[in-house]
Amino acid sequence: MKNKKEKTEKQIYIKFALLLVAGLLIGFAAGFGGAFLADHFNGDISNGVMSMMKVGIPVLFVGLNVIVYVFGFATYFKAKKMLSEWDGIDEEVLEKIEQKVGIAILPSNIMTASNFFFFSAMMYISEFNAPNFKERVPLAVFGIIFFVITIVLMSILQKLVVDMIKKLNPEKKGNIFDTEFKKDWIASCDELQKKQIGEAAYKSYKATNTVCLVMSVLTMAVMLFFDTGILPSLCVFVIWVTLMGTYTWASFEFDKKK
Amino acid sequence: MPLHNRLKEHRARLGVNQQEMGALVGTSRQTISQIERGDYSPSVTLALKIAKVCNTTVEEIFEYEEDGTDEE
Repeated sequence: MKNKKEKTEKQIYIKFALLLVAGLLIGFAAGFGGAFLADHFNGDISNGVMSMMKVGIPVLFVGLNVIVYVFGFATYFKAKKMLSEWDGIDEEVLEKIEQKVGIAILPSNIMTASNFFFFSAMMYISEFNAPNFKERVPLAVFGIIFFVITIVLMSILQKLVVDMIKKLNPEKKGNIFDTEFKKDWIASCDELQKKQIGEAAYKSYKATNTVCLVMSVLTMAVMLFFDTGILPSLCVFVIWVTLMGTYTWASFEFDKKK
Repeated sequence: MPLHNRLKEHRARLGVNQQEMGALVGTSRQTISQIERGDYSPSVTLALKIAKVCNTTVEEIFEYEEDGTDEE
């Protein structure tokens, strides 16, 4: 084991104090800058952002989904081909197939969450920016139809991937269209898989905790300088409290069982 | 800290693949593979199950070696 220089208590407190001071200074600068922008450029910034969104949102919504699902399905079919050509002896091939299948589903999982944002954004730009009904409808209808298409594609890809994982690991249980899928899947995981899920969940918890802190500050600043209302802050609050609450309660429950 | 092990040798002696070994001890092929690679240390329960299936002792399959750079 490498020798690690132990931090002294004094070093820890000094670093913490410096972080607090840096936070205060950054907050002051951001606040001053935000107020200046709000006073002098409020309308211009809003108009600029809206113009970019009207072009950017549809392009990103379609473009990213095309890339993700073409990649996802292509990778899945490559893995399927590898499995059909497997000689039944070399077990490292199975490892590679499982990795490919994992890679196939990863971007689509992220895209699923992103699509809810893109769908909202499409409705927003169609509702508020089009001056008349004839201009609003096509964009809104397109947004709805494309969103439904992405849900269908996601469902198909997930079904294919889960079925392949079950073929590679016959002990796995669960149908992704079943409301009990997550429960059945976890129950069929062994000690290593549960450990991996736990470690991944903890990493997710830490990252989300940081993001919630940043978003809490950001939404407050945006509310103060651009008068967006309390709703964005409230949304962040709900997510953050759910995260902290479930994690803390689950930890307490696990401790109690011991 | 992962354990050194001879699981692959014992599995070859039994004439089973990783999938079959996993089924015999109640775990997945992935876990057997990671144990053999030294990327995962099984729980005591799993190690005992593996030893029982291989008809040997845990010490015959798994070996713990102290890291030479550990501080005393």
